[in-house]
Amino acid sequence: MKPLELTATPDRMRRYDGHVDVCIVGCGAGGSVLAKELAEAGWSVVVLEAGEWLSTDDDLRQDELEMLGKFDWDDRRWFAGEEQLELGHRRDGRGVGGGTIHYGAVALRLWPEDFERRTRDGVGADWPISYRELAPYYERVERELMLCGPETMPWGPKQTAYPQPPHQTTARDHVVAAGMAKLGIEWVPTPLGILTGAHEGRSPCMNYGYCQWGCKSRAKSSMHVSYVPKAVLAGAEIRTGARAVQIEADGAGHVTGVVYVEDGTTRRQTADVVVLSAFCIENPRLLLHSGLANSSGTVGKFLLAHIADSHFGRFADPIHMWSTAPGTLLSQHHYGTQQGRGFVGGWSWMTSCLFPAEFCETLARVEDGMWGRRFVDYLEQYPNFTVLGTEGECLPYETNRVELSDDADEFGVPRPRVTFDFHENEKAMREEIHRLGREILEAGGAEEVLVSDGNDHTMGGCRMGDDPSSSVVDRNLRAHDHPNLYLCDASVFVTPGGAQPSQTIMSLALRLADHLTHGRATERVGVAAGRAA
Amino acid sequence: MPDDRYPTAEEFWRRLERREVELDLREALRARTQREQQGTPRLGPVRGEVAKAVAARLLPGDVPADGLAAFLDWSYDRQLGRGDEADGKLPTPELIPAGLDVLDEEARTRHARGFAELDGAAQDELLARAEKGDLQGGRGFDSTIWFKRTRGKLTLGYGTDPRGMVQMGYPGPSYKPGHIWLDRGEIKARTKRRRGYLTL
Repeated sequence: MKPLELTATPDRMRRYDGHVDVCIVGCGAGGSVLAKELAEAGWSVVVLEAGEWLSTDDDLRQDELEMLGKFDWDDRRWFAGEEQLELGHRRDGRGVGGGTIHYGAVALRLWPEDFERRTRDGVGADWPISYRELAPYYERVERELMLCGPETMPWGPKQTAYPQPPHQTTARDHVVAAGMAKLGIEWVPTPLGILTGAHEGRSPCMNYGYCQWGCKSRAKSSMHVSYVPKAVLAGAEIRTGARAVQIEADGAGHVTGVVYVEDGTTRRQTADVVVLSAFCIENPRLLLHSGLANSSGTVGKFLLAHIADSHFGRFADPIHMWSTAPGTLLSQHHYGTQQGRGFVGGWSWMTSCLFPAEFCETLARVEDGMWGRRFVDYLEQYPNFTVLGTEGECLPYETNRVELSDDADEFGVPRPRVTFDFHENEKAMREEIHRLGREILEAGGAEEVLVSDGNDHTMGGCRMGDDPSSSVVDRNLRAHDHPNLYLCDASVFVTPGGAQPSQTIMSLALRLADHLTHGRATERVGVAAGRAA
Repeated sequence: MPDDRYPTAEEFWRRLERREVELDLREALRARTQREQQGTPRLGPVRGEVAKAVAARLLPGDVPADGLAAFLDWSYDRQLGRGDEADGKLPTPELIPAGLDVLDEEARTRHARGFAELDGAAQDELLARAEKGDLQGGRGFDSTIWFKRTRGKLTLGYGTDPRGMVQMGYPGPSYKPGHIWLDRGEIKARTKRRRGYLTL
């Protein structure tokens, strides 16, 4: 069987000319899943994607420099605050597949408590939906993407076994596992969206290691090899090089379509329903620029990120951390709020893989003075390092936000200004993470441990909620202010948990598709009628 | 590398060929080892000399300083996956050349010689001040940000140059039939949907 990516090619794709049922802005984890589901349900679907359609065979190379900028959203953005968010490279994507082209494919569910942070801990906020409402969709993603992972997870919500067995652990993991064992910390092979057996013509993982520069074996479940081909086969059009610049609405508050620029020409795609899946900076930017969905004044606010610090452990023997997919060892032993720690929330541990250039850049951040002969001495010991990473929870703060700057881009749209800080809760958590990270690696035999601060995974900015005065979209991801405008990506997150967001994004997209095609079909008719009137 | 298990430069290239790494990628990697021939035409000769001296102090490794300076010349105004800029400060494409000028001017003010003509200790002292944010420039100039962005470009040039890879003990991109860590039997087992037999 041929991989679907080779069957559902752009030249065989259906094209729409004129009004469609739904226009989705952005072809990442949210937009791709939704496009596939709606197209299979018979909707006419156009996805506007600002980037290009990369071919696994022709465009992906196992090289850090060759791939830089090919699928990164690297337009200029202005940043303020103490914690400059890491965006662009390996953070937010551009191109068919979005951020899933470069993601590490770590596939984790949020925990029930993540949906009830305010109720349980008296801080932050609650999601308008519970874990229980999302659980069936988590399971669907696990089956549809043939996720691999352990038979049971020792922590978190009960879940069925993963469809494929886990990846092998390597020396990079073994030293960390040894340290964790000494400290009584449980670990498992990480659940990943990277095949360990062939599926739908896609190869099992070949351990090239370059997952985060685009998978050359198609084992990684990036959207452009999984959901997107299925969307295309079902009749969706993925319109690439189409940069959305404005969302339009009529006087009655119904959204009428999307203005976009393609090949220097401004065009308009009208639709019954518009879905924004352009992620946590561009969604607020588009809404603020269009003057929509902001009666609450919360568009752009409550931006979230993970504490993603790297602990470099240097060992006497070679580790060769580059030899397999990143993130193959997971521990959620410290996940969630735990008594006596003095802060709310928790984190996941994960081993990681940094290729030479990124290793240099991340190591240089450890402390002032990391340059010169001392720095090069460390670089020469690169094979002996392992990296233990974290995904730590950050509480929602109104001051962490996206606004419009005075500086416009080439399309005349104001560039975003992003302000972000970690507060006392995150600083206390970070301190504990560093202490334990050192302890684990030293217990595993590290001769030296270095720690570099970082952040990862932008979320929030258009959060969901039942109260229209404090949220942008409702429990069904529909804008409180506009009956036919939806948001579908991590921008709707209320809290981030301490886990990678991709599986939650895909699960929310499946839930939204169910809402649009089954549960509220009559509403859609009503929307169309209202627009016509 | 101090360890003879890691490839020499010659072995590095032989292994790439053996692993059937794409020809265009091999050629791109080869070209990076000759970057120094490109010089610094966009930064110009004066800034180019400062850039070379900065590279020599920040990354005194197997990638020649003039090769790193040439990479800085090529990359200083390219996004290369990043577009984040500090609000109210000079953006990177303007910041990096401005910082080279500031460094050179500071050297002339304090030592009556250009930065490239100072001895290593004096250069390090100025670079340490730049890292701490102590060097003053024009409106929107921040020497700490300049230091970080410049070092970031240089480390990118170093880590993606095969000479840097070899010095770091990295064997280069893997390719069919899989990473150097896996032999053909392991790959075969996996393609037949059997669990891998190899425990690394």
